[in-house]
Amino acid sequence: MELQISYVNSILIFSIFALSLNLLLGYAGQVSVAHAAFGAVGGYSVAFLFLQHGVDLLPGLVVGVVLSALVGVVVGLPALRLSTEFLILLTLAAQTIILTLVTTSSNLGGTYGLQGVSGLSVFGRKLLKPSDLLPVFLVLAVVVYLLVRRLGESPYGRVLRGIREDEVACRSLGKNVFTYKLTVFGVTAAMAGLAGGLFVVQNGLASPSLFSFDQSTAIVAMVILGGTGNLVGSILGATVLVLLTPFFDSALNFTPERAALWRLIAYGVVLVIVMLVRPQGLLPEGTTLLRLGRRLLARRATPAPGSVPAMGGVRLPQQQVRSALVEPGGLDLDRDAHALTELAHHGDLPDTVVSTGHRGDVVLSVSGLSKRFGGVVAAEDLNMELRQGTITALVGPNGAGKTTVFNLLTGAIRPDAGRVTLNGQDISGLRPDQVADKGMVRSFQDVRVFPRLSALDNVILAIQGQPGEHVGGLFLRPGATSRAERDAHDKALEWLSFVGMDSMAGLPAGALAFGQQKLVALARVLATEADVVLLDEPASGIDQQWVEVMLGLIEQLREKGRTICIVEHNLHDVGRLADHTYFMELGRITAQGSFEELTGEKRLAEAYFGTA
Amino acid sequence: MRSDWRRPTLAQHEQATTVPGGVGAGTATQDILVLSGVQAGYGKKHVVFDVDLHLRAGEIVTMIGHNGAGKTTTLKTVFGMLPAIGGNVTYQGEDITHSSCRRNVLRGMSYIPAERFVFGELSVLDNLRLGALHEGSREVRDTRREKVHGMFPLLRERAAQRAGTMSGGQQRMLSLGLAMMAAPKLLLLDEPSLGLAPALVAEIFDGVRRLADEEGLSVLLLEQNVGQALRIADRAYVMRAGRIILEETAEQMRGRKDYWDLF
Repeated sequence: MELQISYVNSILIFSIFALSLNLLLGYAGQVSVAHAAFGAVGGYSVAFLFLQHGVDLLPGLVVGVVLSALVGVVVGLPALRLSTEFLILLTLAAQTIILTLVTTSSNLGGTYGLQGVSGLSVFGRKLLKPSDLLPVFLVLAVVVYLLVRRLGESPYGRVLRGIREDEVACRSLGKNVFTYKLTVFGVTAAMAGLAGGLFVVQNGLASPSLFSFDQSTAIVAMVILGGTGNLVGSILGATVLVLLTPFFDSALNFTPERAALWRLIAYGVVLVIVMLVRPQGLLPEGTTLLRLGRRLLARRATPAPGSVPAMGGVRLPQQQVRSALVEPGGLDLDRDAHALTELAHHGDLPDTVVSTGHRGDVVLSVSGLSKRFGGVVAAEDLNMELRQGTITALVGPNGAGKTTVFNLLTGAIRPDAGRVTLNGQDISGLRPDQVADKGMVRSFQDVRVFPRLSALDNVILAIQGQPGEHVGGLFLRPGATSRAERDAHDKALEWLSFVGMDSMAGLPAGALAFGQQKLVALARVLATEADVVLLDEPASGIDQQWVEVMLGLIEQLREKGRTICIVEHNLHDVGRLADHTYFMELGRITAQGSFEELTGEKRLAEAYFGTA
Repeated sequence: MRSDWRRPTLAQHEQATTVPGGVGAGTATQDILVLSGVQAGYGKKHVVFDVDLHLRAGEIVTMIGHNGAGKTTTLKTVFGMLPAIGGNVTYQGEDITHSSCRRNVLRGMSYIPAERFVFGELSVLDNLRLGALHEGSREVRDTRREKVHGMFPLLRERAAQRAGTMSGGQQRMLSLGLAMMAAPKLLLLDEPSLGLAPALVAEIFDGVRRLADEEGLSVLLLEQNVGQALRIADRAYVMRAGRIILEETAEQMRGRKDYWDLF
């Protein structure tokens, strides 16, 4: 009996490991193969404090958790700007360094580790047998599960997913991506430290082999097997991989050496099969065990879909949304429509803050802005102004530097020289998220929706001032968090309906047709309610009928006092919208005036506008 | 399940079109591409219903329609990026319904997606080289490159630049050049005008028309810039909610004041 209970204990420990890694990998999209090493920090802390100073389990764990959080932040710091492949290398290095330090440090027992970590007590009860440990482990595992769930399935978790999908877009919506990455590294390392502490107590010793690189990869395997972004999946993954040991030991009656070998082979085979057959893991993101079971039953009940599909035409959009929201695979790109064949109708402009100030006031002024890439002039001595309640157009040939101007204004690229002033404040040199906070946001030529998030979540991410997006608000102000969440949900739906996309709210943005993605991206930018909106080719790729609607929407925003700058090639659109037009060539502004004045210039007509 | 409303004017304009969907007579009159009853979608979800369409050698045919009408899905199905759920795709008399992209390229198809498609880490020149990777003769490759450079002089000037550092519109140009390097017989173009300056759009469209006239290139063109598309196209299909609802000559379509109402 005690043996079986010890397996349950192992499952609980590795569930904590896997849950914490899942928050990092599945939600935030940051890979770590150093999770066992974070565990080592916690485990050795518990062992060392107990053996040297007689510190009991709970205070030992607290110290271990804090220390591993610190180590996590230190590892996370250089990881902030790294892409996935380098992140793997970096965390691999961290794993090796930490383990080497532990192994070579004479106080920590070298290769043999710290032995005799037994007889710790909790609340005066000595923990001797696995059955003594079980309640403690269970409580802590449940706490970790609830904690990870709160962090992951919340506004905070939505930001993490946004970072996973597209960091640049996330930053442009005002999220301080660096802080998020650091906190999530710290938090998950802390949880790994906790699991490490428990692992040491269970084994009665802290040794390097407990926290080897193999363990780190096993934890990664558990997360991937269970399904990244699915917390129950992580527990499932941990259970399956932990139970491989007794399976080989007892069921197949292997000797321990042979079992160890076969276990490794089985790990590999299981992972390869999962990757081939079910790459999203046993429980894909957004699926629960209950729904999975129900779907399996339903599949058995109905015959396989025949080759001749029903020709009942298109389902009503309302039904589509509901099914996408309710069905387990609501975020399953394979299953969902790629381009929903629905005609959209747009709603009214949501109640939005009317900008203060007077129409025509200079809101944004740019002076002497310059940027070179190597020898190439991207922007040269740009001087321009955006005025309150007006639409300014930026036109010019391809490669003139129009998008570069947006990048410079929003801080995505640092200018070599020049000043950008927004509402009288110097914003040159600020980061994109800081610029967004100051009230200027931009859209992207290549759309950059968050493909695996629903259209609705895409827009909710843009709504500013949600307390639940920060760890503090999430835990300290739960009431405000859920109120803000409801409001954000409603508001985002209004913005989606404003651009006619409310019927697709529940679908993953990546499953929409290109033009529909553009509309979602427009709703996203508008939902920030920023004073200054920079739109990069909002109308390209959108059918003409919708372009007309959209131009109307942009004009409505102007009425509300928004300041808009637009890069667009469609001359009809520019002619209709622009109050003032800048013409750019080779990184310089070479002409400005009303649109009619510019199109009247013979040289520009030949160089750019064409004869059409 | 073919309903009558789908093609109100087709019968009146039989002279402008060959019999669609036929392997026998249809191909004899040089249909390079025939779609008959094509159904497509993603997983269980149907997006394209029962599409009949044909394209002759040297012809430019445009498909227009609202966002999400299923135009791109149709194009991907032709190219073999998406398996057809039903119906047949015939290319030069050969059934290619379940053929792979690779084989389709070797048969002479090129597809340019609407999203920017270039190899960002490679130089402009290397991008173009990749376009003609399967062409053995160096001379042929060089001639083709000359031709592409003739169409887009910028690609010559920027030969050594990393493609990813070019502007959005310039990358569009490169992706067009890349496809032309394969010297396709059938070009599947998804919104070539996206992000391009108006003068350049006109120029590129004229270039495509020239290739069709002089070299018999066939083009299936998806475009939201309907005015430009109809300017160079021979025929047009209007797609709505996954079905083709109208087929006309481009001339007739241009004559319509109300073609937006079809969307």
